[in-house]
Amino acid sequence: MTQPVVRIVSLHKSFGALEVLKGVDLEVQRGEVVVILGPSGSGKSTMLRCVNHLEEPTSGEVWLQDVQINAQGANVNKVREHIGMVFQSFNLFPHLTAKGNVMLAQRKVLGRSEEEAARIADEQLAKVGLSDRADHYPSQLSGGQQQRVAIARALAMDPIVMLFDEVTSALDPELVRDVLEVMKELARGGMTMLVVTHEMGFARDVGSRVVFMDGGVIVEEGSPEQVFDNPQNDRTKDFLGHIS
Amino acid sequence: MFDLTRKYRQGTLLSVLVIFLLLLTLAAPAFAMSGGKVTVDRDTGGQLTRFTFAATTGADETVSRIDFLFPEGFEVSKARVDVTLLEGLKRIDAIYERRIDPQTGVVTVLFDPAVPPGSNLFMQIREVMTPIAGGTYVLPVEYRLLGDSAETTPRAIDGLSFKYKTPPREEVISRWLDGQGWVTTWNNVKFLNLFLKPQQFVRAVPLLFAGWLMSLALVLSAFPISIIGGLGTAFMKMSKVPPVRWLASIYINVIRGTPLFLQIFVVFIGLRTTGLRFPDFVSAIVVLAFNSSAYLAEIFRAGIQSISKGQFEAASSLGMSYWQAMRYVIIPQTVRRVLPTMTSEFILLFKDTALFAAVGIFELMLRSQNFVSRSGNLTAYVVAALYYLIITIPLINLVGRLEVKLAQSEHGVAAPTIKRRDRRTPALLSGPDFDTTAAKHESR
Repeated sequence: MTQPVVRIVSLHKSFGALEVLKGVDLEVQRGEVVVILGPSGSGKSTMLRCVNHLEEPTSGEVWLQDVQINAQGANVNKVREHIGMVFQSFNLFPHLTAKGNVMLAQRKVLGRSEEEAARIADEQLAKVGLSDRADHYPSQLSGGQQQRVAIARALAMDPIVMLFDEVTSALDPELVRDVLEVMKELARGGMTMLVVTHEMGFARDVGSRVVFMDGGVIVEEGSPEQVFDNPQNDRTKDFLGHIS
Repeated sequence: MFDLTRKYRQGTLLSVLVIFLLLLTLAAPAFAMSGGKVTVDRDTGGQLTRFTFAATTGADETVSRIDFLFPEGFEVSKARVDVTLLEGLKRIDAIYERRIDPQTGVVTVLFDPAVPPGSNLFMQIREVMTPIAGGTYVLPVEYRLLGDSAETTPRAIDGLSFKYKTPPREEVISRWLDGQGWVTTWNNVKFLNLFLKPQQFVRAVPLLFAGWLMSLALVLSAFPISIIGGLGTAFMKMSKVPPVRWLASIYINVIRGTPLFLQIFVVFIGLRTTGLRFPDFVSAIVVLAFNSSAYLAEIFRAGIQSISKGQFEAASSLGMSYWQAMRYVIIPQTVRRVLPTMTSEFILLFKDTALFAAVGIFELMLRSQNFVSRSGNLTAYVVAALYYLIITIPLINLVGRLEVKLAQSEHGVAAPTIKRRDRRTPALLSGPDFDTTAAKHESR
């Protein structure tokens, strides 16, 4: 077995007295699309944010390939370069154009030249279908377009793994499709992805593995067919029953 | 006792010497009118002027007539003449007649009886209108002796000259206004006369200009320092190290919690008594920058913290360090958000320079105050107000436009709540869409 891209070992996270993650173990192999489902408050977003250290784990280990990101003295910024993240609220930089958004970190973090960064930005924007919006500011773009720019921005850094944190939750229904389309395309291209979502259709069609979380632990995991068609855990059954 | 006598003796000696010298000049043998001198009592042209003529008649001259030949441009039609005659040190009555030829500008004085030889002659020719153009003028004076016939060539005193300057333009305009009918009508209204007297207005404008420049220089020097200081303090206030945070808090609270007036006095009077002394201009900039930094620190901190946490997370997730995220993502957005409030702060600071009048810095306020106390007329205050408004009105407008622009660019995104200096009025902040922009402003 090859080395997993992401390895989470016995992850605990508390906010004050509230324990959100109560021991999570997860391994993600290269090229896998792991879809994380669960009711709100189940800790799935927190787990995702621990992967790139936006949240500091209380205990446990988080590894990106052979680097432990939450180790003492780890160069967090260096590790984050290789982890793309897309947020529910887009978080585009409003003072930069779409292209400027995609170029900034390439220039300042990777030290790419102006020309190279611009060329890659153009490529990535083309990939998400927004070549004609390159010079628009975020305020001039729809939510779906903004989210696709955010994806392009993350991809421009050549990440090893992409994290998607409820990226369609803030979008109008008619805009969701475009974003999911981009994500599907990405999955087909072999990108390793961790996806927190409520889009069951996406989970079933694209997910190579579905993880169901509740109460800060992983309750059930398996192939989409297993989890959706033949759930073993009562809480999973309950949750899926409510959804569909 | 002994000392007193010595002093007394020295005093006598001195007076004897003075009298001797005086007698020497007076009794100097003269065969023509001598010691002639002309002076004027005004140092600028274009106004009624008194001419003084002094001379001693020659030992063999009995003067019966003196002509003053005023140069072209001098208006003598209203001239009046006073004569004082001294024979030795004794005053004698002068009986004379004045004749004026306005056409040629000749003022003639006829003495009957004639002036005895060796007399000291002092004459005043009052209310002569001088031409505006300054320079050195020659005043030819001619005289005739008793018994001279009309054909006799008069004797002349040559080389008598006087000089004055061209008055400044505002003085000329002011004098011109003096003669205008509508100005008189205007000034008959008590209120207008007191606050908007045209003559005072034109005089105050150039005089206060230097003060305006001083006020501007103060604020323009202090504000850039305040921006740097404010940014530094803002980061200190957000520091993870508690003592650093406390230090910033103490500084901000002490400065914002005390009047600027008091801070000025502390620096100008307090520091002087301890022997520390800087040029006033430098001290003033230091106080202003120190004061404004505290306010800007709070504006910047609120601005930075108003940027959504997601922005910082997005920057971090792309591998940017704290300072990279600050520099390329957070600060540029903060600048746009705080620009209106910063401009307001600049306006406040500019107006605050007036407080330096109390410590003798010749800025706009002190200059207008001096002008008012000299003229007894309040027009200079109105002029000062206009000078302040030249700067503040466009900036107030700018603040409004910046706020609208900000509201548009952020599409109604909730913007920072920035605490303002509570002693200030919120009047500056009336921009459209205000609720969605630079936020709720506090006022008392």
